Amino acid sequence: MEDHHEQEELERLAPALMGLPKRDPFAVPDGFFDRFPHAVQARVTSRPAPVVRWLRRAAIALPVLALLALGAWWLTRPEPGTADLAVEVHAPASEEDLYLLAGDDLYAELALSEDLEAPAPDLELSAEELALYYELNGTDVGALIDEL
Amino acid sequence: MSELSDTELLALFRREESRNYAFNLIVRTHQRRLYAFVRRMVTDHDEAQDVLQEVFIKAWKGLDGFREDAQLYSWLHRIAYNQSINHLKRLRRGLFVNNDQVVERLTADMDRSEHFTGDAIEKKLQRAVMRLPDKQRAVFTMKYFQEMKYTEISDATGTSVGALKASYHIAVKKIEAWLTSDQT
Repeated sequence: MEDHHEQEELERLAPALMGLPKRDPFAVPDGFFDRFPHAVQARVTSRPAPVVRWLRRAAIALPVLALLALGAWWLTRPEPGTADLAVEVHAPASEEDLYLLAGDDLYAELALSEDLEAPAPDLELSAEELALYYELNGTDVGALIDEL
Repeated sequence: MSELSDTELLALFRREESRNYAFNLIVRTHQRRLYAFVRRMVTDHDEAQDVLQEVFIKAWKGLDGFREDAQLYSWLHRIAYNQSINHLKRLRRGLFVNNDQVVERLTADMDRSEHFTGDAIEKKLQRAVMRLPDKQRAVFTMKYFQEMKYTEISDATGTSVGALKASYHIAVKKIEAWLTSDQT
């Protein structure tokens, strides 16, 4: 009943369209529908099993992943020599290390230094101050001038 | 054509020894109607053949999971609908063209094709159908040419019956206007 009403409405709405004879104008090559099921069957049965498909995907994906990993390592690797410097900067040397590296003399001087972090003394001395210093230390200024 | 019901066909398909036989029967039973739908959508015979092959390959993969909530025919039509819409989208993407240019190309294919036997008015009708938006064209084709019920079209397209009726009426009015215009 509902379909009948709808059909009537469509005939009123679109008389030209609804008056056309319905014929399929699309032809197919001879024997198409006889061959088609075989073509489909051939395609579905020739598709490899899921395990084989996964292996094939893995065979492609693994080298790509390896290349990506290599590229990431290449981009993030430290510059040659940078690693040693980083160690020197970030690993504070112990007194024992300094002793081993610099030998007895340097270690002895460092050990004698009471406060390494104290500000350096002002070395800008006037001529009078220098003369007073040498006098107090008993330095022969004349001999020093000759030597220089 | 198979005389077996959907349930019997699916039971055969699920047994390994009769799987290929059952699938062959399913293809033979539904190929003509599905081809007619796909051909109306994509126009060209070779493209319709490719799309229809993909429809049945998807069916082969999905039949084990088919739960018979809908008829096999409606389920296959849903696949055909989706494949046709996707094919037309790919066509537009591949050509980087707008809808009018795609219609022009499809019309030219139809004019050249030895597999189109329609007269002038049928050619004009097909051109008008091709100018509809893809989804509206699908709805019009299923209702007008294939005389499917709205509930079946709803199963195939996933659209409500109310929306389908509205879409069909709009499509009918557009095509009537194009058919009665002077344009060829």
